[in-house]
Amino acid sequence: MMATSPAAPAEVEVEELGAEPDFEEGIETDTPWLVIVWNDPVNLMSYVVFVFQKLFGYSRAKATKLMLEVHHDGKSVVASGTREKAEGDVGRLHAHGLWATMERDTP
Amino acid sequence: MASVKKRRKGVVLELSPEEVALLQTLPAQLAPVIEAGPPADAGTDPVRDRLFPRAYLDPTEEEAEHNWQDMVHSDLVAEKSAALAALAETLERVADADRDAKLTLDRAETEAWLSALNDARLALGVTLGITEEHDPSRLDPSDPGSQPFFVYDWLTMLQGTILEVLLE
Repeated sequence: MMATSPAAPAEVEVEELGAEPDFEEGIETDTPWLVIVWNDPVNLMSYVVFVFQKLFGYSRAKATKLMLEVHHDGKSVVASGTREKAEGDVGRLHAHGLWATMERDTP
Repeated sequence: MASVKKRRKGVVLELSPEEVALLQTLPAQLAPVIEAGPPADAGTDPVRDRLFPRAYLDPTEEEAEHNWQDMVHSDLVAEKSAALAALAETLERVADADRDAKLTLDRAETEAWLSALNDARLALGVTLGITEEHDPSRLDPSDPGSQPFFVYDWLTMLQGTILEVLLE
């Protein structure tokens, strides 16, 4: 990520974007799925904080902590849940240009 | 240099005619990439791969990946296209100005600008091979080849300033 300016608190708006859960695939196991955001050289640190707050309703502090994990560790788990929820979250992150993937949590 | 301020009615940008003209080129450049249909052949177009990444890295989830693409791709295209349309429509308000002009964006328009600017920067970033080491201060203004890098850096500055103002 590129650093430009320090991010400040965003007004949090939680929007339901992206796909509706698809229940036709049958019952999944309870293993939660992890939504992972990867570091990239283009997205601004302040933009990543803004997106985490907007999509997940996270506090400024939590969104900043996750952004810094992405920046320093190359990736961060930003959300988790059922496969359907994770697919929706990944879609909403892609809609905002973040590089996100999902994988099954390993016990 | 564009100036950005926060006012009660929204975010106010002051843009030169050249800056307006530059921003007006973005929707036409990005629309073909965004509207080109689902990325069936990953790896053939790195810009599209970046704008529409995979959800699953695990190759054994290929069927889930395919179903996911089917489910979300048209929504992603619609959202990105709507942001570009909002950029184009708001720029119309200052299109005829022959000097620096003020453009007021409400919250939804500001968020659309952030998305559109971000997609433009992602696309340019791939095309120009931008890495973490990219350093705007090392560009040589006398080198014609650095022109697209200056455009990228200007879009970065604009997006960063809008975010700064929005989040303050």
